[in-house]
Amino acid sequence: MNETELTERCRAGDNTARKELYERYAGQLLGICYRYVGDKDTAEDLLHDGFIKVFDSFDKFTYRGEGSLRAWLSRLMVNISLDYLRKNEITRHMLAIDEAPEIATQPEEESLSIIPKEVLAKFIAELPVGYRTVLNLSVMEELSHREIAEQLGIKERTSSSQLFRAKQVLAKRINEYVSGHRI
Amino acid sequence: MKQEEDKWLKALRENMEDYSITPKADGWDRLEKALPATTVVPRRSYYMYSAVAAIALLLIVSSTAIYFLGDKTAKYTQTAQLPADIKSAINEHPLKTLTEPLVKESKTISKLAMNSPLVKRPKTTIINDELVIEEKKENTQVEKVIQESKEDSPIKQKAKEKETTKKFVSKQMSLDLEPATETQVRTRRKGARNWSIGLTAGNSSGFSTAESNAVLFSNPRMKYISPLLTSSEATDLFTTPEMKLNHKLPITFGASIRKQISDHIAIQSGIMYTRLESELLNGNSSYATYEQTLHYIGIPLKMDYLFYSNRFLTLYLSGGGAVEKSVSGQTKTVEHIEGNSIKENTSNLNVKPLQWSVGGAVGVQLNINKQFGVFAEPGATYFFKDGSDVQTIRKETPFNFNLQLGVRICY
Repeated sequence: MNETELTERCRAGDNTARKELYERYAGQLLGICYRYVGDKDTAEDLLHDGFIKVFDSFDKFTYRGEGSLRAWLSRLMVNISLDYLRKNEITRHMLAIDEAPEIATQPEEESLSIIPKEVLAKFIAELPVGYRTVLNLSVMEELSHREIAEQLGIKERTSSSQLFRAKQVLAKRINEYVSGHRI
Repeated sequence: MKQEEDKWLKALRENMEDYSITPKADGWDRLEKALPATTVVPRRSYYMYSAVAAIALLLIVSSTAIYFLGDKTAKYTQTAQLPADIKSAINEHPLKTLTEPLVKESKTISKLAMNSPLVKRPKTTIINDELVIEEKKENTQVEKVIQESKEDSPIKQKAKEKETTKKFVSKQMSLDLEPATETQVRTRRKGARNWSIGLTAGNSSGFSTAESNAVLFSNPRMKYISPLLTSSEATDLFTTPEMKLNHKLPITFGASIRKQISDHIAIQSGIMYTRLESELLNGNSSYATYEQTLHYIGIPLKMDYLFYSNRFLTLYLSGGGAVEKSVSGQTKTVEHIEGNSIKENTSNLNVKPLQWSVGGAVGVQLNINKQFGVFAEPGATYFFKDGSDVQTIRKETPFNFNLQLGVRICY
């Protein structure tokens, strides 16, 4: 089944197609939820809720070529995750920035490819919620600080400082991992 | 520094982009239970039912048309009655001595005919058709009388028939349009799947055939029959006054290619072949048959509006025109006596002008799988006058209802 047909059949409410969509994308979408909420059980719940919303809003989706379906699904999952985080008042956590961050050495570009994805995901998941959210939106979703500020209802400066701190923490953990696994 | 920083983050993004976690095994089952009851079952059966109903209606419409066609033919075979004077003239003389003087005196006889009341005449096997044919101008008046005497009923019946047809068609339309108003208009073919090719076969049933036989004796028809009958053999034609002219249902085959230019609009063209056949049957045990066959090759150009589509069914409106050229035509006259054919005469019939037409149809396509579909297009076509003298069903009933059936392959 190609993506066009998958789309049309999901839209028509065909259960076989729905299952196929789930099987194709659930893994990646769960990965997104996990990156945002940092907890696998919560991520599973969000995936579940997210898919219900997906099937409910297929009417609003227009297929625009290869990759558009995945992009749409991803965006939907990001929004579901952000909703969850908003409800859990992440913005309050962001204001509580106390000590100056430790400046870490920037990791080598190559070292990123030797670290398993699971490990990188875990590093991101273990970041404090404010760091994690801004890092996800900035690095993974490539949103500007202004857009992130709008999304989360925070100041642009808060967003950029959260990102800065997130990067230091993440860089430190990557460096530690790389030095620990260097032969 | 800044650039290096961007590099490792970019690498992070690229690395994480296709990251996935295997969801719990019961993930789908939980989700399936939580989803609102799947709509596909009721919808599918509803649309399947609609499609079946649509096709059933089509069959009813077509068979009604065919029924009326047959009925009218029977009714109007008795339209033509020769004047009593001719009858008696014929009865008094043996055939061979009769024909020659009759041809010579045809003018006189025609005048007689003009003044004669129409009387019912018992079936005989010996009547010279020449009388009717040779003097077509005078005869026109006889014909007019004949026509007038019968005019009331065919017209009324025709009107009735059209009304019936209209009802069927409007029912058909409302049935097809229902899903579109009920649900959001959707289309099936998008992206790469916007080309399709099709093969069609169909007919145009003359719904207004009431006229066909009533106008049998009118001038234009005589024009093309007369060359056959004014030849020397024509005097040998044995007929009874009962005459039948049948335009058979046109048969059309076509191959088409369709390009989807937007979600709802598609343009279609191709090539089509149409065969028009008419026959004239005179008399019973001794008679002459006249057959006329015309072959047309044409190019249609249509625009389709796809107003509803799902996996199983695509509904669309189709409108456009076609230009056709007669590529070959024949006429064949066969004379029979007591069931044995005694003479055959074949000649070519050329129709030079182009035949233009416009039409519209409602299309119902059943999608058997993602590439293959069968469709039915009930529609109406108007054929413009081509300016030639050759009589065809298109001249007599320029406005035709027709049904095209076909297969379509999308890729």
